[in-house]
Amino acid sequence: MDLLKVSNLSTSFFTDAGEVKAVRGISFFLNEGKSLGLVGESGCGKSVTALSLINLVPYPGRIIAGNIFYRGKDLLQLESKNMLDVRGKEIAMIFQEPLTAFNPVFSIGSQVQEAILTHQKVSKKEALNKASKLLEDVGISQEGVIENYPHQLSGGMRQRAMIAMALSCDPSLLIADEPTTALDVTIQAQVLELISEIQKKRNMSMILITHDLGIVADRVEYLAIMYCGKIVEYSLAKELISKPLHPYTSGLIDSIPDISRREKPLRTIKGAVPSLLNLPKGCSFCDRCFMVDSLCRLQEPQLRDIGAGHMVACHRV
Amino acid sequence: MWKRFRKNKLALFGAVTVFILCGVALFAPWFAPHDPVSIDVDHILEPPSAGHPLGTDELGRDVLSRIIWGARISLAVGFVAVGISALIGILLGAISGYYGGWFDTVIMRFVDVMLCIPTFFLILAAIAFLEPNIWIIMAVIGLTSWMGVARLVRAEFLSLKEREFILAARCVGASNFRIIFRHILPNALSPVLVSVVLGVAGAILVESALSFLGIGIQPPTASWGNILASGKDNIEIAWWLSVFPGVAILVTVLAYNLLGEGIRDAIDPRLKK
Repeated sequence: MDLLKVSNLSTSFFTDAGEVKAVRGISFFLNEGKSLGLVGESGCGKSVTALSLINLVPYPGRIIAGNIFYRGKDLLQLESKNMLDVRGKEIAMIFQEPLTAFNPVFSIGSQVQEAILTHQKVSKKEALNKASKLLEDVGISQEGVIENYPHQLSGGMRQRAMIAMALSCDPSLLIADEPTTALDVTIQAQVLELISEIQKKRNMSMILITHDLGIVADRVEYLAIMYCGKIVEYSLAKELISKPLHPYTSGLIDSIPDISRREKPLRTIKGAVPSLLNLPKGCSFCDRCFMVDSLCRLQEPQLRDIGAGHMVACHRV
Repeated sequence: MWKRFRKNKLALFGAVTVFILCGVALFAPWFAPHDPVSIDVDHILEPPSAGHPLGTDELGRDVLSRIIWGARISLAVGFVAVGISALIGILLGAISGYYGGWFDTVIMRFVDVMLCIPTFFLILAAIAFLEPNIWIIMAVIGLTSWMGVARLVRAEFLSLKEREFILAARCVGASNFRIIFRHILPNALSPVLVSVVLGVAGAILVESALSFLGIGIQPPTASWGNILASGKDNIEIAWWLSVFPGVAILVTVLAYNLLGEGIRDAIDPRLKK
């Protein structure tokens, strides 16, 4: 059964300069226990998608259309009071920068404890025991860390604590929004390993958001590539990496740095992302695409299934 | 932070003085050598002596004992009045800073209006209609001095509510109430602490002034202000009746101000030398 089914989700920011269409009608689904990687460059709407899923789009943004069905219920129709029970308990989130995501005046332990107390009817002592158990699960077992304040921990430790907090109420869906961007490369691998390990062990569903195709490709089952607020290609991860169809996807894969070809300059995708305030009429990728033709400039391609669940939004495929 | 505070000699002096004053006020019956209200017509307006270290007033009451009991009144007025103003200020500031919108506009314009009215005259006007007892004075001072705290708290909330840990708190399902009081308020308290400590000094001064003018604490209850008032009547023959309560007010207000400024400097990392 679908755990999460998003259809035609659109989120816009109404700024003084005009309507910024951050997410433009995206649809996807996620089954229980499965994982989806949401990949795209900065500003393509990944994080806004994540915030839309838990209905926390910051002002002046607003979800303007679409449905988000979670276990059959439309989250966008829920009253804000009932939404509080979904956040944290059903859908948990891990943020990019764990230092700013923790409250600086409370200790790590008490913050995890509080997350537990928000949703579970247990005594403070039990919650604290559970918190230390959770911290152990994510590899923080040293004495005393539970009493440390966020600024006293290293980046990797903080991100582990963040994961512990996200797991505190056994969510069914974990959204990790660039969980390793603020970490250095060696810690990055450890934390990602930890996240996928926990996801498999607890049979959670997961949406892993990143701009780095290389780090998610072998850790998720499905991949969705986003560009300018739209999903341009969606498929099983293996299939998408080995047979990318959308020119943007192949560009992304080509631009992963490869240490064996260090003599040559890094490959990039030419051009720049168009402004979300002023998108081209046709395909939003047309100005950067190497196989662009006249149709691309006139009509926006729709996501279509080209067999075996591999979906792509491109006229030329 | 404590280390930086300790290096500041003046702040330390303020803290110690405040501590001693609180002790004296709390244990006034043990410290006062005489009954502050017992009249002794045989010893009126006596200069300082061994029996009466700070002399006696026009009814023969011991000035030292009256100052000690007066400390109780002054500190009580200071704390309660500031407590009231901090409570109102924090609540209104937190709600208007967090929710914004029309509520914020209304509250902040109301603050502007309140700040336009000279506080002391507002207090005088209020006291003129009400019976001047200690509770009324506390309430009136508290109700006319919350605006600064409200503005401070609102400003802190405006910036803190945009921080990512608030978003993170929302993501674990924290309600608005919980976010305001558990997550934002503890982060906003340090400037409030400074303003509260300085506010105590201000409230003590206002109470003394009211009592001096005869519309504050009423005799025979001792307060520094009304001892000064009786000192004014006898200033040519009994200097001790004006000097000692004056010194008490000076030292207390100075101590609170030094303490408040010391805390501010200790909290503010930019002043780190």
